[in-house]
Amino acid sequence: MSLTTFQPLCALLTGDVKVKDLSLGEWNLIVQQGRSAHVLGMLYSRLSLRGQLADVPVSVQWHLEAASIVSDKYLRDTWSEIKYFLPVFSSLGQRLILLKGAAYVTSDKSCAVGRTFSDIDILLPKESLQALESALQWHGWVGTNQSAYDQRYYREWMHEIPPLIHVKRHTVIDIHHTILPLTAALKPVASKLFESAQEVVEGVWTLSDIDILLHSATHLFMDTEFDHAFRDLLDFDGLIRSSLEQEFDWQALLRRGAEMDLMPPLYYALRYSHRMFNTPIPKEVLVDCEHRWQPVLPIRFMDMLFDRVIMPPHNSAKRKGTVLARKLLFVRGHYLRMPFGLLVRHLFHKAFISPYEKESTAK
Amino acid sequence: MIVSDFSAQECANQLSGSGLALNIGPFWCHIQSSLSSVSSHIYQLYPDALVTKDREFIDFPIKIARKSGLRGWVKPLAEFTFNGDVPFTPLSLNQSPALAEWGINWCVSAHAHHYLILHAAVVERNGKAVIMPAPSGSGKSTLCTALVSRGWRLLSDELTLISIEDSMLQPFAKPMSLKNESIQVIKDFWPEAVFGHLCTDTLKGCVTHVKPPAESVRSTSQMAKAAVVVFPQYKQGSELQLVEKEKAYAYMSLVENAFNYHLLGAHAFHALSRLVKQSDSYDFVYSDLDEAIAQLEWLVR
Repeated sequence: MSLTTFQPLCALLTGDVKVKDLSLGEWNLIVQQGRSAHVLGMLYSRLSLRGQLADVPVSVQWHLEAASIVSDKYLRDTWSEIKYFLPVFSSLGQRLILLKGAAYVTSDKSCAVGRTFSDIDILLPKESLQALESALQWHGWVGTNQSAYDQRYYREWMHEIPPLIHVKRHTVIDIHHTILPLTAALKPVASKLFESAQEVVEGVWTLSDIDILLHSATHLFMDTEFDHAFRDLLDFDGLIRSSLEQEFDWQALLRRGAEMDLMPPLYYALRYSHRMFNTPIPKEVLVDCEHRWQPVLPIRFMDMLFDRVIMPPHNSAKRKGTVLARKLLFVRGHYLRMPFGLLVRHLFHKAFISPYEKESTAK
Repeated sequence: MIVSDFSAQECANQLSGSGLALNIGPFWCHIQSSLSSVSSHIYQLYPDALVTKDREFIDFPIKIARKSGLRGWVKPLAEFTFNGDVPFTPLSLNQSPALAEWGINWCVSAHAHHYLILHAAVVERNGKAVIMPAPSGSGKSTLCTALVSRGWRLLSDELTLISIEDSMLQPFAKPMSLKNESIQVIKDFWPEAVFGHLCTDTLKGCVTHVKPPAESVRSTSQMAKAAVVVFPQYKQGSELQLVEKEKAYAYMSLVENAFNYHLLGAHAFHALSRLVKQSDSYDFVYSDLDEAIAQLEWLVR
């Protein structure tokens, strides 16, 4: 069972096992799996916080130190990008609301120290998108070169516009106007996200703590690709644990999940975070969640799929059916994003028209 | 145990079976490959490297295998896998020794960020290390190999590893890579050199590798102190020129040749400042290897 081969890494990340109790052979697997899952930087900062770095075997230490040097670079770059954003946003009278990785690290969530992420995600009301896009262009952020179809796909159906890249610094930003595609069956109301946003540092905003949890669950379990699923689930676990450090109202989380039409991803996130990382979620919360929503297909079947794709793509995680599970969840992800008719049309275009469009632009 | 304690056949069997843990510089690579070109490359060019069958902790798990799939029938390809990922496009099967060498260099330059890593050759004599950063085609590897043939200690022909703690240089002695015309130059200059398989038609032209001296391989735990930075440039028929350069020039030129300067931030700034302060720097134009070596020997006298 590959769940058990990841047990030492998971337990070390959550603090359920001490560095002293690990063998060098276990470390060998931990470093390889941790590298594959992009969590070595987080592992470094967590062990540092627990004062256990000195116990790490000498031959292992540099792997964690090097990962922390890389994640420091991400943090520096994020803050330096934010300094470029702030005047642009204030000139438009907009708040800079960060999502995902950038939101976790700037709001100083202890669980996110050492996290790396490939782009900066921003949330903005849909009606302000155009003004922001043209303002950003003056500062060097340009759209990635995409076909007319891709443009339409993003702008009419998705929850974000095509990524913008800075011409000199090559940093990438994703601008969202809500957290799920407009065509998805679930319909969270974006304006509610803006109403409860919080300022974490002067001029820098994130979603409310509960909405951060819901969004973390949503982009993990409503997506089509699961390359970063392990780390994203670890985020959810860490966010729950840091919420629990203060008084945490589980009922408020479930109520908000229902209000935002996000019970399905919340259900999965609670279930698998508990399964994988032993997240301290009270039994009655899991039961309550099940009362509010349950998958159409038997949960054992969903377990078979998700258990396979949440593992990082490391050899030790190879199990029969992993490729099939990825494919099925890829189809599921698309099905959840678009109504069936539109999906058929989209896949038809991607399969038969886009390749020729690319060819003709390449010529 | 070192590689040459095996017979060629045992070495090949180990590599194609459960694989071998091979010590290169401060790192342990676990290499698994059933390609005979890879096993003979390792057997010929790594005879003095420490090796073990059962090492608990491995820095870089590496697999070099023939790529499966339809295309393999037309043109057999070799694929480099690190930790389950395939970081580069496969190369033709006869280039697998070069693929192995480039792959190992990539493992280090993409992960070992506890060093400031320069794209530079580095050799040592009389306790004084000479760093030779230069773009491809400047004759850096040729000069490095020629110096090594005259008894200089090889630290690396490709990657200079600078400790961010104290700017000391970490040896990373592995086969030296030669390309195109420089292969014949070294064959003439150092007839006793042991050459590996010649990989033709690679991105960089013809590439082969030269076995490093056993003493260099054995002394990888002995750090070296940088004393001289030389920016070499081979110019056919030119007079020998050695021009001392100011520290700021040396610093900025080294930044241009660094893999991870920006990633390391303040660590890189301190490590490089310390290194440049303690070293003299020169622009160096040469055409004759004997003259060039005599000049560099004078610098570290």
